[in-house]
Amino acid sequence: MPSETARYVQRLKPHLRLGGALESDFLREIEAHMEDRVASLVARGVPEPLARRRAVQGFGRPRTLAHLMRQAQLTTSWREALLGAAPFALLAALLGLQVWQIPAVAGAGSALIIGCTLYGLWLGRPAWFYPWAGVALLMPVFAGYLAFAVLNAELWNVLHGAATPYALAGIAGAGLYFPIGLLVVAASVLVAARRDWLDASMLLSPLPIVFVWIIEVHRGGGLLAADGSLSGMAPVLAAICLCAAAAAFVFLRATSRAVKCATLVTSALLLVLAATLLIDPSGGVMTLGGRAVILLAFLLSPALVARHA
Amino acid sequence: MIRGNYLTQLLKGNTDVMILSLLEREPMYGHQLMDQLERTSAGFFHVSEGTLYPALYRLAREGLVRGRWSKLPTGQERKFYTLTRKGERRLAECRSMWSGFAAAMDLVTTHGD
Repeated sequence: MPSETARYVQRLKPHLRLGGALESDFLREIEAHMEDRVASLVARGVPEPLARRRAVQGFGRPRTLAHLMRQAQLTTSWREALLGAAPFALLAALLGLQVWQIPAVAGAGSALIIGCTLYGLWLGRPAWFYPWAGVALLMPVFAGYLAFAVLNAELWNVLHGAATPYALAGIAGAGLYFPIGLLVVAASVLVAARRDWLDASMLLSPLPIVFVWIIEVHRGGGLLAADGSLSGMAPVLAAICLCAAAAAFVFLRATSRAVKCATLVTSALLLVLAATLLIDPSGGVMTLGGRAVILLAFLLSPALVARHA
Repeated sequence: MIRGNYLTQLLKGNTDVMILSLLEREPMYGHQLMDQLERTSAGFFHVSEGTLYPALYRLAREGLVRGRWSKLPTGQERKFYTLTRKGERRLAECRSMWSGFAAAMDLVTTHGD
C-alpha cells in the first residue's frame, strides 16, 4: 500500500500540468522534501505514519498547490516575452520586405521556426514556445491549402475523363493529408490545453492570419495567379503580424489571466477589422460582428477543450 | 485573529526577501531553507511548503535564484538554490526599501507626535 506521501504526489500529478522537465523536477524535489521532513520528525520522536501525514499537510491541498505552481510560471521575463513575440516579427519582416517569395529566405525562415519550436519543446515548453509553435502550425495549414488545390485540380481532371494514375495518386494523397493535418493541429491544441487553455489559445492565434492570407490567395486565383494581388496585400499582413507580435509580448508579460485573455480578444478584434478592410470593405456591421464571434469562438475554444482534457 | 491576519499579510509580502536573504549566506535546498528560516527567526517565522515552493519557482523564473541538483554527503540528491547576480541586485533594492519603510513605520507607530 503506498504511503501518505506517495499518495499525495499521485494526487498532485494530474493537477500540476507544468509539463516536461519542469514537472518531473518539481515532483522529484517535493518527494525529497517529504523524505527530509519525515526523517526530521521521526528523529524528534514522531511515529512514522504521523510524520508522513504532517509532511503532507504543509503542502496543502494538491489542487491548490498545483494552481499556485502554475501561477508562479505565469511570470515571464522581458527576454522571454521578446522571444515569444519574435516569430510574428519574423513573419512581418518576411512579408513587409516582400522576401517571402524567395525560396532560400522562405526556407531559412521555416528552418528557424521549426528549430525554435523543437528547442522549446526540448526545454519543456516554456511560455515563449507557444507563439513559435503556433507559427510552425502555419506550415501544415498552408500545406492543407496546397492539398486542397491539388484535390481541386485533379478532381476536375478525373471528372472530365482524365483519370490518370497521377491524378488518382494526387486525389488520394491530398485526401489523406486532411485528416493527418487536422490530427496534428488538434493534438497540439489538446496537449497545450492540458497545461493551460490560454497557452493553447496563443498557439492558435497565428492561424487566423494565415486564413486571411489563404482567402486572399484563393480569391486572386491561387498561388501562381495571385502573385500580383499578394504584393499589395503583403504590407497589410505585415502590419497585422506586427500587431500580433505586440499582442504576444503583452500576453507573455502579463501576470494576470484576465489581462492575457483581454489581450487575445483585443488582438482578435483588430485582426477581424483589418481582415474585413482587406478582403471585404463593403461588409456591414452584422458581417463584421459575425466574423468577430467566429474568430473569438475559435481562439477561446481551448477553454472548452481544457474542461475535458 | 487580527494579529494572525496581520502577521500573515506581513509574511506574504516578505517571503521573497527572506528567501533571497537566506540564500545570500549559502546555497540551500527547500527543506533546509524552511529550517533555517525558523531557526534564524527564533521560531517566529514559519513558511509552509505550499508557500515556499511556488515562491522559489517564481524567483527562479524571474532569474533571481538558480536551482541545481547536487549530492549530499549521504549520497542523496537535493536541489540547491543559489542567488544570481540579478537576485543580489533585487535583494539590495529590497533591503534599502525595507530600511526606509521600517524607519518610517517606527516613526509613525512609536514617535508619531
